[in-house]
This record gives sequence, structure tokens and C-alpha cells, in this order.
Amino acid sequence: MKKFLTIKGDADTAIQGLLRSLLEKGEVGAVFGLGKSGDAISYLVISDPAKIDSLCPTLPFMPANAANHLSKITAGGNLAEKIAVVIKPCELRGFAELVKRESGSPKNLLFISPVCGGVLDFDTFYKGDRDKELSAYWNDVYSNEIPSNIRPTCSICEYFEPFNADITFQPTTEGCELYSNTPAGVGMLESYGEKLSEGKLDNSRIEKLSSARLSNREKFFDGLKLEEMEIKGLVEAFGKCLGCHGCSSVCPICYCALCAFEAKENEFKPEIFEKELAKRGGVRVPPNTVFFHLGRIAHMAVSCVGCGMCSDACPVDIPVASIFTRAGDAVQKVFDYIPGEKFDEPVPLSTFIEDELTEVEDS
Amino acid sequence: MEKNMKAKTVTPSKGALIPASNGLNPAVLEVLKKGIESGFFSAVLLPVKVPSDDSYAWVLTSQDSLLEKANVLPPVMTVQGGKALSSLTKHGASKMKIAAVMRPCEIRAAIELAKLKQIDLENVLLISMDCPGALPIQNYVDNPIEGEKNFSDAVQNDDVEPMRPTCKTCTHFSITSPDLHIATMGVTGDSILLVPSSAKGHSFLDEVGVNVETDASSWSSEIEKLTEARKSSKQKAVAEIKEQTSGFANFAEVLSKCISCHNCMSVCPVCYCRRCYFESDVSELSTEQYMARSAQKGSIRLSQDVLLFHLGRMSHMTMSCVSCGSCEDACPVDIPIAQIFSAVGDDSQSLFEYIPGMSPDDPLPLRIFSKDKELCDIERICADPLKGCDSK
Amino acid sequence: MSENTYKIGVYICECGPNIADAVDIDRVVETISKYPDIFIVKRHKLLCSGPGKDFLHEDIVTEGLTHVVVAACSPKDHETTFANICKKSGVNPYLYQLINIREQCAWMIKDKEAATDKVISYIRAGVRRVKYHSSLEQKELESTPDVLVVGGGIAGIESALNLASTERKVYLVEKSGRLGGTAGEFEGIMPYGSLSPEIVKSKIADAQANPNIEVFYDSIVESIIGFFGNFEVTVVRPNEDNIELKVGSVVIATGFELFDPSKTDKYGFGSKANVMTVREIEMKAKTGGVTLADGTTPKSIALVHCAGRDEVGYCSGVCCNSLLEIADYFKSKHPNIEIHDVHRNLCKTSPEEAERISNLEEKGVVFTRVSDVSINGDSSKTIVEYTDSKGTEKTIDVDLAIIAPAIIPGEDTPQVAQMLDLTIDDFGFFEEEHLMTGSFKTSVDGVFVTGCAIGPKGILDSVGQAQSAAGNILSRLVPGKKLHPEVKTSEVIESLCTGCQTCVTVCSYGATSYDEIRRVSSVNEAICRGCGNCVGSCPSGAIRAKHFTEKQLFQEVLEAIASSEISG
Repeated sequence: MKKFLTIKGDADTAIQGLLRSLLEKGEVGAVFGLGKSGDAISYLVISDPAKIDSLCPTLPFMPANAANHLSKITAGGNLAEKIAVVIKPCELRGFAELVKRESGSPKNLLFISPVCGGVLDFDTFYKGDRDKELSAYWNDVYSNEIPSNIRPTCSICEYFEPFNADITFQPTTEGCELYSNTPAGVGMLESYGEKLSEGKLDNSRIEKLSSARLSNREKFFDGLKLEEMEIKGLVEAFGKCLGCHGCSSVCPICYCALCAFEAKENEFKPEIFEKELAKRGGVRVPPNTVFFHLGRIAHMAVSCVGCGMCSDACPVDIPVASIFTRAGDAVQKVFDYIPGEKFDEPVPLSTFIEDELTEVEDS
Repeated sequence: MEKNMKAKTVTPSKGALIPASNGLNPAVLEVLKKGIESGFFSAVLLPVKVPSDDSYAWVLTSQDSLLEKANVLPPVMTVQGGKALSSLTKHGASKMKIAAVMRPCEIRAAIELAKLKQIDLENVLLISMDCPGALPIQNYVDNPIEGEKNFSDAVQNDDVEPMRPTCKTCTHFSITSPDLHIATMGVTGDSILLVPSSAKGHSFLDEVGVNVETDASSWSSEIEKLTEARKSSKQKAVAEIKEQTSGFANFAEVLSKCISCHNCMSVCPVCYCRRCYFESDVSELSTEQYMARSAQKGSIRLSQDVLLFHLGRMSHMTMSCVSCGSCEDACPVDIPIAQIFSAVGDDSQSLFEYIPGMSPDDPLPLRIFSKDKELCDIERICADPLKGCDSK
Repeated sequence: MSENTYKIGVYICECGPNIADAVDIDRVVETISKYPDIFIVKRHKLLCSGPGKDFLHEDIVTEGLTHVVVAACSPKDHETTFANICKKSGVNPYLYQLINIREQCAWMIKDKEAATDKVISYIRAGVRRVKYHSSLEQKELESTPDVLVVGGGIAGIESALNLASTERKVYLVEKSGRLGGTAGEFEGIMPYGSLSPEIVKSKIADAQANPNIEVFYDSIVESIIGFFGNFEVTVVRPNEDNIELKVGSVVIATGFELFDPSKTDKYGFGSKANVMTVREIEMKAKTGGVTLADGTTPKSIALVHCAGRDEVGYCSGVCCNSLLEIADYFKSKHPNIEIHDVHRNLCKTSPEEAERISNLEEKGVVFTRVSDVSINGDSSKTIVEYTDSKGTEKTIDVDLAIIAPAIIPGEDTPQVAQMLDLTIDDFGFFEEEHLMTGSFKTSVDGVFVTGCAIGPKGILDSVGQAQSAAGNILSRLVPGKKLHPEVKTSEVIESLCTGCQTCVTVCSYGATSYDEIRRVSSVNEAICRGCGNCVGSCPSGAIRAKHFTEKQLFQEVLEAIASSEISG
């Protein structure tokens, strides 16, 4: 049983009200969340209560993975004032994965996260009829259907209920329900001044959505046939790749200051090209198109949260997110690991448990 | 310090007429094959269709099976040719002689990169062609078959509308500073004209047994005509983008969708730094700085310093910007970034009367110091106030 | 060291009344003390005084500080003073920052509140900066005190004589077979001034006799590589192998040439007329007397000034007096000789010369000021045509015209300049680093230029300048003392360097170079002067300036701006 608050009216306005009150009362020093910045939608850090009305907490859009922004703001671990952070579940999970890699700190952050119906992809959001698309989206969400205009990885996402949120919220047709998960969450709701009720999140809704998503996921992965995709398949999948590394730039997990694939070690002397040319009759330039992706999978798939930023950032529409999410799923299942579930659970690849993976070991 | 000597480029007056009844590509591939056979070069760097048939990639090859899938003038520019060539010769000249077939802006980028020691042109024969432009890549990859058709139709009808915005107003779409240029515009009949513009180019044509005796004036006057027409459409386009971005507020607005993915920088051929200054620890803000800015302004948007990145990148590279438009193709949120950088590039280059990539002998303007002959109207103090300013 | 173990101490100097009267130091101390990253804040009446320095030293040690920030006067005054205290107290002198709150705050802002606000913001910025400082170590270089002097003229000889000692060997390389240069040629009438030919001769003899000066005749310097304290020189000698020398410093004293009047028709040189240069007169005076082509002594002469001045574009200064000396010579030998002096200006650089002119006038020498002049004629007469100051064109017929050609750069100047990467001025002489602050220095540290190699001058000035150049070396290159190269040099971050060599093209000192094998640029810390040109030119920040890293500067400026906008 959890303490919760139901606010009637428009869901965005409801959450704005809570956040404005927290700011005005000094419970938090700033609010982080998605909002309007001119004509664009960006993440904002708001200190002035008068500016809270620019927030769009329920907008199903992700211009960048907020984990990257939070990581930059909290690097160093000395955030002196509380910030109320409104982000999507996969962004929160991504942030937890960054915290485990010393690239961020949850100190003084209060997380407010929705039961997430998914986000519109860039093309739909920027080029489509936005009002129409949003209206179709919410229709589907409220009827427990998976919307058709969201990122493919959203439609197969299993962890759309947030981990580690102090408050979980769920927009409804009448307003917004906010559930506290932690004492800090209770504190935030109580400070709002209204009487809290006790209850549970409507599990039937969540269960229905969950089973729809899982069956989608199975179908999707089956269709992807990653197990059968050998080098030939990978070369086809990544044939169009320009090597812009945009996927890596926007990925919440890719945290390296200088990517190994951009470092000097990955630049070749001409002799290497000549050798390859002699061996195979032709060599693609710049080299390592597929190698970059395989390397990135090796480095980050264990923590891939399936947010789908990579596909949106790709200029040539390679379904990067689909491939990486599928690969991530396989790796995570080996270690029974849910990326971002706990802030203090170590990343499997940096732990050594003797009695592990014996099925692939010789002795 | 390098001395300031500007080289003057002269358009060659003669070329070698080659039949091209089946189109540009087969004719050029035939010449390239002859080059390989004669041993003038061992392999060619050119765009080849990828196995998934939905794009092109630069491939260095001498094999027929790959050359069959090659297209010297594909509908799209995937990786900028200058960037591709730089990954080949960044760490030294190739011992093997190669030919590189690229669009004029890719050649120009290659020459700028050669000045920056990122390309070694020693064993490279540069080949360019008259360029009709390139389709924005999003208009190709989702439906390549339609893309191919749109491109060939546009080329046939001299229609620039489907091309990248910077292609539409390009004034350097013909010969720049390659060894050999393939002239198509204004060349009558089903032929192409091979125009050599260096000793290397001449020896190549000698080697493959082709005589340079055809007068090239119908081609050069056609190019002149087209260039003039483009100049006026460019003026209009530049005026438009300048108005769109005039003043800080408008400029910020145009860039407001920027998500700081830095794709534009990654695909830019002239951005050669291994780690961008604006991604380095110098540009990092601390927790206190974020909070202080938020407190001061009431609300800040993330990422911070978006304009700083773009203006900073501009200050570092516009002197060498060849207006290829790769940046705009790569932008996931459709900011007209190439049009902006191209307009600024033209302005900064004209300050020094510099055209990037026109000649390997033109030193990079920001590296040379010309005491009395430069930027007098900005400096306002001439070396000898009694003598007065004697530049220009 | 993690931030938690930083102990930053801030010391505010009152500088007597200078700062105390103009700034509310109480408010500064109170405000600054509140900041969490500052360990202690103290004030003192006069930190640079004896008691002040002792106080600072004891306090740093007692409090166990790791970083020191002093808010006081200009770094030009006391940066080193407090740096030495830090060293003495066990704090690396580069983990310290001196903030100028006197010249930049107290002395220029009249309003006390505003001055105090600025002081607070400056101190905050300085504290923020010092957190990003790194310990830097002073390097020491061995050096050789020996010196190479290129050119055995009077300037070269004078440098050598001033420098040579039992602890310092001087190698004097002369391209001809004798010492003395042009000054050594003038034994009859010249040299100018109080330096008689005897003195020149005795200096030559001293140089030859000095056991610490080794003279190489008929030799040239083929290459000089290295840096101040450690140059390697190759000298090409006749009929012998090249010799390699190790020196710590180089003096270029390669002298001058005279303008060749046959390059123009104006002076009738090369025609049949009797025209001689000052040098020719000197030679003839040495060997018996001045006679014309036909063997007779001239009865009338014209002294024509400024030969070549228009062609070279400057006045050589000393030639006027050389012609007056010649006038004196002829008048003393032939009291009735007719002498016409035709000049555009008459350079009188001392009272003696003015006196000499009036004496000559008394002896009948006619001085005429003209606006232009030319000489022509044939074997029978020499005609000097001129336009006088009233604009009238006149001619004089004389037996002999004597011209003083301009002093021009020595013919090997371009080659020597290229060998050492020295700059040449618009007239072709070696360029000093700066007219006022860099006399005799060049852009290559340790390479000096002196004498006529840098511009026309007389023997007295050449000698004086040679002494100055030598003085520079005597004070900087002390036998037995190690050299301390610049600590705050640039350094290359190799993983980021793409080898574009932009930094190499902008370095004025030749300190950056390209390593072909590793394909990165590298900085020679012995030559680098820490000017930062390379840092500004690298677009990726792959080369950084120690103690002035962009991170340090960025953080300092950001804090200064932030704290000035959010008052308090």
C-alpha cells in the first residue's frame, strides 16, 4: 500500500502544481524536466517558480536521454541543493547505470517518473501533424493499446514502470495519480498540502500493458532473427552507416571521454589498407563500420536500457536500437541483470563470481 | 611562418573526348580500368553500392566484381570523400598509387585536409566531375529505387530542386584542383571530356593512350554561364538564411532544436580534431555553475552552451568550409546548419580572398601573418601612417 | 589529492593604507570565510615586509595548507616573493596564486563598496583557479659558457675581448684572412672619432694574443643547431676537416658592405670621369697619395654626399663625417686645393663636427645644400650638376669627385639569417627582437646581433654595442651556473594530436616541431617561452600551456563573472 494523491484536471498542470509548490516552499532548489524552450522541446532546470508553466511532464517525447544531462549536472557528487527530477523510466535506469560508472550521483535528487506509454520518434514529432499524433497517442494509451507512432523499442519495453522513483505518476483521462514510493516521495506529496489517500497503482492496467508489450517483444525479437545474423547480415544491416557515431553520442550509457573507436589506435597506417586490399580485393574506407557497432555492443549492451535514442539520431535510418536492445536483452539475461534496477548493483562485467557461467567454461 | 602566396587557377583549354553512349559511369569506369591495367595506379577509391543496395560506401578496389557495382556520381554523398581519403592516408602516403574519384567539394575538402597534414596526396590521382548536386540522404535511404530515379531525372532535366540546399546554390560544381576532371556539362553528343589540370593528369592520359586535343571552350563557357546563374540564386539563398538567423534571438531560435548530438561535426570533412574542443573537459560546467545559471536566469535549457559549440566550430573551420552540406544531412532535427555555415564560410573566406581547396599552394589564411597587407579596414592602423594603406 | 584534502589559505594584504583605505577588508574577510572551499582567511598589514613574510611562512606550515592564495599587489611586484615563501613552507610554488587587488581594485575604484565587491569576486575567482593548479617543477639545464662570435670585424673583436676569460672560451670565426673588418682597412684618414687606427690595431693584437680566444681564419659557420646554453656549431675551415663546437651563445657581427655606385648612372662611376669612393681615397692615402688617372694631383675636388641614399631608402649617418675628414686631409696636404662640398643634409652628430665644418669653411671649403645631384664627365673633366636650395640648376667642373656610398647589409646576411631562422628588416639588416626591450636580441634565445650587421653606425657605436651584447651574455650565461628554462611551457597531449602542424607554423621561437615517426607535434621545453601562440592555434586543445590551461582560465573567468552577477 502506498500513499498517493489524485489531482484532477490536466495532467501536466497537475504535476506543474506540485512542482511549483515544492519550489515555492523551498523543499527543492530547482526542478529538472522536459519543457518548452521557445518553439523547441528541451530539458529545463528551473529555479523560478514562475517558469514552472513551461514544463510538459507528460509529453511523450525524448529529445535527448535525460540521463546524459543529469550525469553532467551531478558529476562530482556535490549537489548542494535538492532537485526534483521528472524523467521517463528508461532515462532513470540509464542514469543509474551511469552512477555505477562514477559518471553521476543521485545525491539530493528526487525522482518523479511516469508509468510510461512510450515516446514519439523524431520524424513523427518533428515532421508529422503533432496535435493529431499526440491525440492518437493518448487515445491508445488510455485504451491500454500500444500506440503505433512510438519508437519501436518503446513498443517492446518491459520496464515501463519506473525503478527508484520517489514518486510514480500515471496520467489518466481525468487528471493525474501520483504514488509515493519512498519517505522522500511522501514528504513531497504531503508538502503539497492536500490530503493523501492510500492505495495501489492500478495493477490491472499495468498488467494488461505488460503482457501486450511482452508479446510484442517476443514477436519483434523473433522477426529480428539476430541469432541468424552473421557477418553478412551485420554488413547488410549496417551497410548505410556513415560512421557519424551519433548513436554513441546520444546513448545514455556511452560515457567515454574519447571513444576507443575514435582514438588513434583505430587509425591505420596505409600498409594495413594495402594488406586488406591484397587479401580481399577491396576495402571499405573509412574502415571498421561494423566493428564499431560490435565493439559498442560489447562495451554497453549489458546496460542498454532500450530507450531508442540511437535510432532517432541515425541520419540513415538504421534500426540501431532494435539490434542493440535485442543484443542487450541476450547479454542481460545471461547475468539475470536488469540495467538500472538498483543504484548499488554492480555492472556484471565488472564483477567476478567464481561460480558463474560454468556452462561455457571448459572445466 | 608560411609566406602568403596566392596561386591563380587557370581553366585548361583542352581535353580528351571520350565516347559515353551508355552514360557517364560506364565510360569513366572503362578509363579507370585502363588505368589499373596500365599500372598507372593499383586501385581506385570510389563509391560502390552496399550489399543491402540502399546506399553507397567508399571502397578502395581493383577488382572487377566491385567496380561493376561502382557509381562515380551516386545520387547521395554518404561519407564525405575528403574524410574517406583522410582515413586512408592520415598516417602517411600510400606506397601504392591510387586514383580517387570524387565530387568537386570532396576534392576541395581533400586539398584542405592535405594542408592540415591529414591527407598525403603523394600517390593519389584526384579525379572529379561536373556535379549536379546530391540528394539529401533521407530522401534516398528509405526508398533507394525511387531515389535513383529522382536523381537521374533531375540530372537529365538540369533540375536542382531535389538536391541538398547547399548544392542548389553551389558555384564550385566544376573543375577545382584535381589532377583530372571529367567534363559533362556543355559537352555535346554522347561524350565526356577528360580535362587534365596537372602534370600527373597529363601523364595519366598519356599512359592510357588518350589524346588531349579537343577544344574545351564549349564546356568552359557553359560552366561560366551556369556559375553566373548560381551566383544570383546563391545571393538570394544567403540573404534568406541571414534574415532567418539575424540577431541573437533569431539565431538562438533556429538552433533551439539542437540536441548537441554533434553529428554535424562528426561528418564534417574539415573537422579533423580527434576530440573536439567543445567536448573536452575545458567546456564542462560544474554542478555549481549549472545551479548558479539556473538561479540567475530562473530557467535554463539543456544542453547548455549550444550556441557556443556552433559558433566555436564556425570560428575553427569556416575558413575551410566547402559547403558540401554533409552536416545538414546528418542533423537529426533538421536544422539548416549547412546553409548557415556556408553563408558564414563564404563571408570569412572573402575577407582573405581565399577559396578553400582551389589550390594546394594557397596557405591557410589563419596560419600566415601579412603585416601590412591584410585586414587594414578592421585594424585601422597601418604600419606607416605617413605612407598610408597600400593594400589593394 | 582529492578535493576533500585541499586546504586553501587566503591571505589578504592591507598594503599599509593602500588597500586598507580603499577596500572594506572586514567585509571581504567575512564574506570569503563563508565559502566552503576556503580553509582559512587571514589579513596582514604588509605581507611583503620581513615580519609579513615570516607570518606567512609560519602560518602556511602551522595550518598545513596545500594551496595558497594571496590578495595583494601586482604579480610584477611580489609574485616571486610569495612563491619563494611557499617553497620554503613546503608548498609547491605553482599551487599558489597572487591576486592583484591593489592596482586592479583599490587604486582604480573610488567607490569603496564597489571596490570591495570586486575584491571579493577576484578572490573567489582566484581560489577557483588555484584548485585546478598542478605542481610544476623547475628544470635545470647544463650549459656551456663558451661563445661563438661570427665575424672578426671591430664589433666581433670587441665582443670577444669582453667575453673571453679563463672560464669562458670564445670562438671567433672570420671569413677573410685577417681580423679588423672594414675598420681595419681604414688606416690613413679614418677611423672617425677618438678611435685612432692605433687603437684598432691594438684591439686586433689583443684578440690574437688572448689565449681564451680561438680565431678561425678563412672559415665560415655552416650550421648552428640547439638552444640557449647548448648550441652545436659546425665550422668549415680551409684545407681541414669541419670542426664541431659546443657553445652556449652566439654573437652575429657580420658587418656591412658599401653600396656599389656603378649600379646607377647618377654618380658617373664607371664612366671616364674621375670619381672615387671614400674607400678608394683611403686606400690611395695609405699608399702614397691621391692621384688622378693620369697621375696628376687634383686641384679641385667635389665631395658629394648621400650616394645611394635614395636607392637604399635610408641615411647611413656616418658618411658625412668621413667626407669632412677627407676635406681635412686634402686641405692639410694641399692648402690651396679647391673643395666643394655638395650635400642634401649635413649630419652633425657631435659638437666637434660642427666645429670642424666652420674650420673648413674658414679654409675655403664651399658647402652647398642641394636637392639633387649627379656626376658625369669624361677623362678631361668631371662635372657635378645639382639643383641648389633656391631651385637653380648649377654645375661645377672639378678634377675629382669623391662620393661616400651608403652602408648596406653584408652579403652573407640572408644566408646567416636562414641558417638561424632570424628575421631581416625591410632594408636587409638583421632585426633585433625589439627596438627598446630587446636590443641586440633575436627571436632565437641566446643568439645576439651587434655592430653594423643591424644597421649603419660608426666604429665608436659598433664598439659600444658589442660591449652591450657581450654584457647580455655575461649576465645570463654564468660559468658553472645551471640554466633555468621556462617552467610554464606548452605540452602536447599526444593522444589528441592529429599532426596538422598548425602549432609548428605559428611558433615564433621554433620550439614546436613535428615528430615524423610518432606523427605528433612536440615541444622543446628548453626553447619554449610559454607565449601560448600554439595553444591558441590548436583547434582541439591538444596542446596546452602549463599553469595557463584552458580549464584553469575558463574556471577563473566563469567564477569572476558568476560572482559579480550574483552579488555578495
